[in-house]
Amino acid sequence: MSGKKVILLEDVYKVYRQRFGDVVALNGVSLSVVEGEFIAIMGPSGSGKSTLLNQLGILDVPTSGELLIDGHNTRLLGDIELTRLRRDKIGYIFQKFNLIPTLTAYENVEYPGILRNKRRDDSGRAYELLESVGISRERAGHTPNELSGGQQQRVAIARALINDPAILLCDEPTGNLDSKTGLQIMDMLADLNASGRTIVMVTHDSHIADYADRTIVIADGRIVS
Amino acid sequence: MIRDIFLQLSLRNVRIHFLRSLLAAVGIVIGVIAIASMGMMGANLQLLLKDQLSSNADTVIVQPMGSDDVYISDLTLNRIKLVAGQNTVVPVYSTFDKIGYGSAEGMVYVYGIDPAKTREFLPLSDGEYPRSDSSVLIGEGLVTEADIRAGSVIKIGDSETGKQRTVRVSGIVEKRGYSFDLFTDYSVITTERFYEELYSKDGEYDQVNIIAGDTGMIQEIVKDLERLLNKNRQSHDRDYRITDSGSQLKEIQNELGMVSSFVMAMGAITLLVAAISIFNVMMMSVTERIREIGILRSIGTEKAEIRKMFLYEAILIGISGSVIGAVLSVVFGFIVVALVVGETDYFLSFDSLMYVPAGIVIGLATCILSGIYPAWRASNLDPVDALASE
Repeated sequence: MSGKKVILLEDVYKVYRQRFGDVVALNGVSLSVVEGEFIAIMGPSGSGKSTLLNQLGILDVPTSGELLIDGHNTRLLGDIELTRLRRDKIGYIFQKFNLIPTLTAYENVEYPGILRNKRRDDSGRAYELLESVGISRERAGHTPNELSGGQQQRVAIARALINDPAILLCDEPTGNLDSKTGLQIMDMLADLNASGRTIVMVTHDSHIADYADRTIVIADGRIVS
Repeated sequence: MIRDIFLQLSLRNVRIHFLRSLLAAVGIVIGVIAIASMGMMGANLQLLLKDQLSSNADTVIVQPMGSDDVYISDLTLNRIKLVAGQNTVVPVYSTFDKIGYGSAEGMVYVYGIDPAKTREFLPLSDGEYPRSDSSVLIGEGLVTEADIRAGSVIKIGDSETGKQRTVRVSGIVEKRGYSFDLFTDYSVITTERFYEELYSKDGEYDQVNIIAGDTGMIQEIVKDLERLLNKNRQSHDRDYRITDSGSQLKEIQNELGMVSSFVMAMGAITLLVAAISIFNVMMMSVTERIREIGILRSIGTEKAEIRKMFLYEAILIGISGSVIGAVLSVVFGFIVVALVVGETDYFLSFDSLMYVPAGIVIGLATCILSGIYPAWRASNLDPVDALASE
């Protein structure tokens, strides 16, 4: 690990203004993640896990406090810059795979690359990534509904890696998979971490959390351990 | 292969919801057909009238205003001759009467004109000019409608209500269409003397035509006649209606313009309905794809790119609807022109066919306008909320 902080939260608050009173989803969270770390975030539902993940995924910005992703302060950026930061620095892996149903596996992997480079991939990188997660060229021509859950999650991992992101964010990556497939996916993530990729994973399964170097527990919007 | 991934996504979405998109496009097809074919009909009518009126652009006509009992007297005729100078003055008797040919009967215009003058402005397509008062000319319309030919014998007048005479058709007057001076196509043209004898007339003309040798003199003749006959009074107070083809054309064009605007407005209503249907289809598309929009946003798709994707969908519906509508509007336009105008010679002219691209542009613009709000809405969805939707 180089010691470079890819994620830095300082006293982050997220408050949702509601008619019946404010809801404090994040209550002064401070956290730093260095390059190459594998972090698991755990906590009961309603604890603020998802809100924290949305901040890290730059889908949302803090109400107050500082959040730096790979050195960029998200509170200072407009929608276009936030979207580009998300595209270039974050690889998102979801519990429900979230592949685009009308695109083939290959096109799903290629898609974030097209967003970044404004042209179709001609380097063969999308195929290489698909092969590295165990999806053959023949399978790559299928749409998500023709693939199994495990295959879809492999495609999602390849998609998350196409723009060579600084951080892989995994939201319950094994939540929709049987235990055997889940373990295969976790082994794949562990391999990626071993080769230097920073991973932040939300899970409620302590066995899955064991793959991480460090586990953070969050409750009532605060980090408790 | 389509290189633009957003176009690819829109195309595939249209394909998935093919029937829905097709129905929305059908609305545009109907709207484009309505606007383009009605526009073409109006243009063809105008072109035809313009052509036919300009064929007697050198003519000024004087008609008495008011009820049927008003005629142009010999005194007025002499005043008109004074204004006309060297130009040909043709006094015309006219009425609407029954004619019979064999067992067939029908109502037509009957004109009484001095045969020496007839030669000057009514060319024949067949036969010869009358040599006696018992010979008449007929218009080409009667040849095609009733199969009356040069040499045929016809009856003029109604034996029950007045006199009836038998005459021989000596010649056929060339087709003149919507000429404003005389409607000769469906008429019988007798000699002046014959008409006076049949209808007991003596110098009480229904109309006087002045055929100017030089069209440049038309305005001056009209001005002089207005001064001499109408004493430059306001239009409602005039004794005579003095018309030349130019003013006649303007009047007809105004009326036609109003009619075609009205018909095209009905086409526009069709397009409005189509716009609402496309708007509805696009809103459905947005609602169904909220989660997909959330995914696209979360992996780095910009708002503008989401807007583009939905606008493409509206444009795809618009292009297919407008192009199909344009092709069909040529067919429908031709049928409408053939039925309503009765003449398709002008169909391929620029003024007529320009309604086809105009229809495409209007149809496409309608689709794009209907797609703007749904696209804007899609792009402004909150990615977190969109991802959470099922």
